[in-house]
Amino acid sequence: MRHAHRLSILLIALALAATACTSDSGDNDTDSGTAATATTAATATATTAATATTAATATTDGPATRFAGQTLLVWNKVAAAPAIDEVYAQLTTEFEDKWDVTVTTESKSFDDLKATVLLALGQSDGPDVAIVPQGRPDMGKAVEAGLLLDLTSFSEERGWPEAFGASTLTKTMFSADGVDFGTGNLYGLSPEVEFLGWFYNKDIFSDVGVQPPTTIEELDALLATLADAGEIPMNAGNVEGFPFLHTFMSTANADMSVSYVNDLIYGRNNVSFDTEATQTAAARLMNWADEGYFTPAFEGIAYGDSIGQFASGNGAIMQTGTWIIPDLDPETFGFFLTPAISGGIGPQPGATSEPFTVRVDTDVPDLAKEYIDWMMSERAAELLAGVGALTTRTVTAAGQSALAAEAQNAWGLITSSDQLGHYLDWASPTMFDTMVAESQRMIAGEITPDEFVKALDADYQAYLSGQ
Amino acid sequence: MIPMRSRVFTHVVLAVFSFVALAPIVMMLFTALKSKEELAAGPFKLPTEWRWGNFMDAWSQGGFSTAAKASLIVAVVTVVATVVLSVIAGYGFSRFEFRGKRPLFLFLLLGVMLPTEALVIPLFYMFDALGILNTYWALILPQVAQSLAFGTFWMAAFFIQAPSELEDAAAIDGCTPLGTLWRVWVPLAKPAITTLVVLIFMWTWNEFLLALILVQNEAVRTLPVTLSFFQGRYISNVPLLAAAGAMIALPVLILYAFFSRRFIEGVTGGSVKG
Amino acid sequence: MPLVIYTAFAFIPFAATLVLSLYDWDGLTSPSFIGLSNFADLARDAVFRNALGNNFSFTIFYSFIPITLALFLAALIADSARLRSVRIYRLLLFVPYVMPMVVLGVIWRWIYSPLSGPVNAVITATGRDPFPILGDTTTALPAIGLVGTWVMYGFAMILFIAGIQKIDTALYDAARVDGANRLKRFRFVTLPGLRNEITVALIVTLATALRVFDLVFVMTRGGPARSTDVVAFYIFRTAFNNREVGLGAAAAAVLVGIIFVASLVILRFRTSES
Repeated sequence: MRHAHRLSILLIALALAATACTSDSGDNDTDSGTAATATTAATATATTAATATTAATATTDGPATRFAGQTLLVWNKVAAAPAIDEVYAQLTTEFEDKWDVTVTTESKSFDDLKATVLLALGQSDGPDVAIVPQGRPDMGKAVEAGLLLDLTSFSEERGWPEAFGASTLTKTMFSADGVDFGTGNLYGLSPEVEFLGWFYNKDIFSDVGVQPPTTIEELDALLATLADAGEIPMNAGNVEGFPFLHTFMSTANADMSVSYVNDLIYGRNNVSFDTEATQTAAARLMNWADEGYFTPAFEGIAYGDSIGQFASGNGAIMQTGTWIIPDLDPETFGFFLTPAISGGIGPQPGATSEPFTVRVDTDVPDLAKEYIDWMMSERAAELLAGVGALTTRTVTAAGQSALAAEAQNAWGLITSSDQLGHYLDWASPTMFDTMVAESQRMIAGEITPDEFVKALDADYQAYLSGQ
Repeated sequence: MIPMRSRVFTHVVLAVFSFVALAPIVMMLFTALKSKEELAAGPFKLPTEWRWGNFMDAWSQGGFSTAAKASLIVAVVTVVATVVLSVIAGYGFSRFEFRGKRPLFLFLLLGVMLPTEALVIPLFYMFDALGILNTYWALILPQVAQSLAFGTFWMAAFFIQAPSELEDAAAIDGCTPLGTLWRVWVPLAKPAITTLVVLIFMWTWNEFLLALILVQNEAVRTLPVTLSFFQGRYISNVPLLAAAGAMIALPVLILYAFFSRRFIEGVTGGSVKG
Repeated sequence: MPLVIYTAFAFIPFAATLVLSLYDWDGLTSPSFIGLSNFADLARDAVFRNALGNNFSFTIFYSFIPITLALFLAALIADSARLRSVRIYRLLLFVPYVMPMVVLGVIWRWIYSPLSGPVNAVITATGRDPFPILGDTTTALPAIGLVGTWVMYGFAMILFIAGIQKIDTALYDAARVDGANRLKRFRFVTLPGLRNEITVALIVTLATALRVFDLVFVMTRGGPARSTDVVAFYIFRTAFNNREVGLGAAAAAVLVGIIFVASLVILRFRTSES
């Protein structure tokens, strides 16, 4: 028994060492700490080596076939609609033809990616290009572990900051040690965007005789009018917890300044979650719940079910993300952004989709970067927009539906007025869990909106002090 | 003779509780055959038109054919490996004396009690290091290991109560221990082995946690996990979900219909003994 | 060979869980030894304590209710349990137990749904508003617990019916001759005769209640407001989503410890009684 125990420690040491992709696992020392530290050092060296290679090859601007015969392994994510998957496949084929290379794409669901991509990026046969979930817990961790290639100089070379807007890029930027978020080096980007907003049923709106609101007070009044007219004002389903949070985040963001939201998410300037904006937003939503504006029993309805309900004509408004556009009839439904108190728009929670990144130890760093640049190209944006995706690069596409065009214009407005806000659950690794649990307690009447906001701040301050 | 009144009473009690046990499953089957509109009209109504097409739709939209292949490969390999190894190990335990037998027995007993949660975290990192994460092996090896502990006890329990004269006769006939096992004991142990087969098949087929964590690749993903992701995407289409659920449960139910006695014997007898 | 597989893929991972529970590790960078801090963190962590408390609540639904119910029914039908016709009920009662838990989760999630679910269809038919059964902090846990009750009562009944059939009929006849009524016969003949079966039912159902994962994952993901959060889901989240591998391993170690202790207590209780 004791022997087996000792054996197991050895095995863990080996396993640890191997996970961290060391080449030297023959170390019989059971102290796994030393083995793994050595590995980190090795990875760091690899980073510099890779950077050196990049610098070297960047100058040799060879012919189109300088990559001829190379192969690229890409981990993409399964798209919201099959048509979008097909566009990626087509773009990949075009890329292969252009450079005479072979690209192997493996499509993963978001859950898969979240669970495995960081481990895969640490393996020598891992993907060259991979989608990594955004935010500190995943992308930040990957940067900290030295798994991702710095794309800053490449992005400047290719004009990404001008094309996509500075605030768009900050969401995939970290300091080289992974500690500071929203600043430093750029580690990836996605050609698609998703952001939160309000979808409305045009038929119901015209029956009742109402218009989309331009201020938050108008929104309150609108919901009351819809309720009086016997409609369900807000279609909702909140078993999973996040749908209600999205509504909270949208209304809270709209009352903050962009710099305040940035500070909140990037952990700068000792800001707090306990603000007028969050207090007002929480109280407003609870007021809506008390008035019965949400679908009856929405706490027990699953999010997917609620989309189905809305698409089939139940409920006047649904506050959620632009990813539901493919589920809605583009002629029946319209879209508006969260109005600010004084009219106009405040910050809107949103971001590019999970970004493409490059594995630091890839054998083909230039090809990998070229692949991402191709996905960010105008050609890619046109094809993606043509099948209903919203794109980081604002383009007009032939096949775009009325609803998608409306949302795409809204994205243009957000970036041009520099009002891109944040999903507030990015603020700490545990914030999502905390927000879900505390908001559900608030809905159940166990805590007040004030206590809800204070609970979020407690999570946030605990995280900041642990940093 | 049992009085008539008591008999009727027994039947009524058992029938009521059997009905409760089956009602949700039967409702799922009816729902699987409805359209979404029909379901919205009321969950208790029978389908007006039996839409067998729902099964085809669920099957193709959920990518269940790859998942079914994965489930089948994992279950069959696990069952065969576990049963063969359990028969040998159980035979060894019951028929031979060797040093350290008792501690070894306790060591195995630990395996019967270990929940998957206690193994899955290191398994993930072990398999990642071995490069077999996202392969069938990642599901087969731990399930064989876990079932093996039970299987060994199960077979040992059978061999211990079996008469040893047969063995002596075989030995006189010049059979090696393995030959004896194969020619004499395996045919004799057929009922016990059948029980073991159906039990392990059921456990492996229904397993969720290991498959959720150790396999992230659609090509290797088993049916239960595929269903849980299918639910995430098609949550609003209850008839399709029900159809998918019914198809996943079907192999176990068929096996159960044919071998119900073995199932029940295994779960009742097996647990009472083991 | 059997031992090698068992050791490599069941025992070593278990031991590794215990070792990992002493480390602070994110699964990527180098781990650091922190002694028992993870366990201290768990003891302080309100989220973990809440999850563990929910598991204990589930034992009521998975263990005590079904076993009590099954014993009660066993008492009612003890006299006629030997009838051949009882077999068909055994077959039916056991069906929920062989079904994949994920499929049951999908079925029951729909049964409780405010949209087109049968329970809410009944509620709205009486003119009331639909009720968010799985979305309400007071009803979500009992609702999932009832699924456990539903699965387990059939299992317990089958176990007890099989047990009764093993009891010597002479004992019942003797009791009858002594003028013992149904209650007395239950107390002095059936109950002692079922000692083994009750032990098994307790161990199996308690271990299941402490390990609930599939149903919660499919039906509520631990919500609303963590009212259905369980230890297994906590382990999954900490080790794989939050990348606190050591803390997850410590939670797994606590879970195993509780299951072992519970099993030992039940076994000890049984031996002391006999």
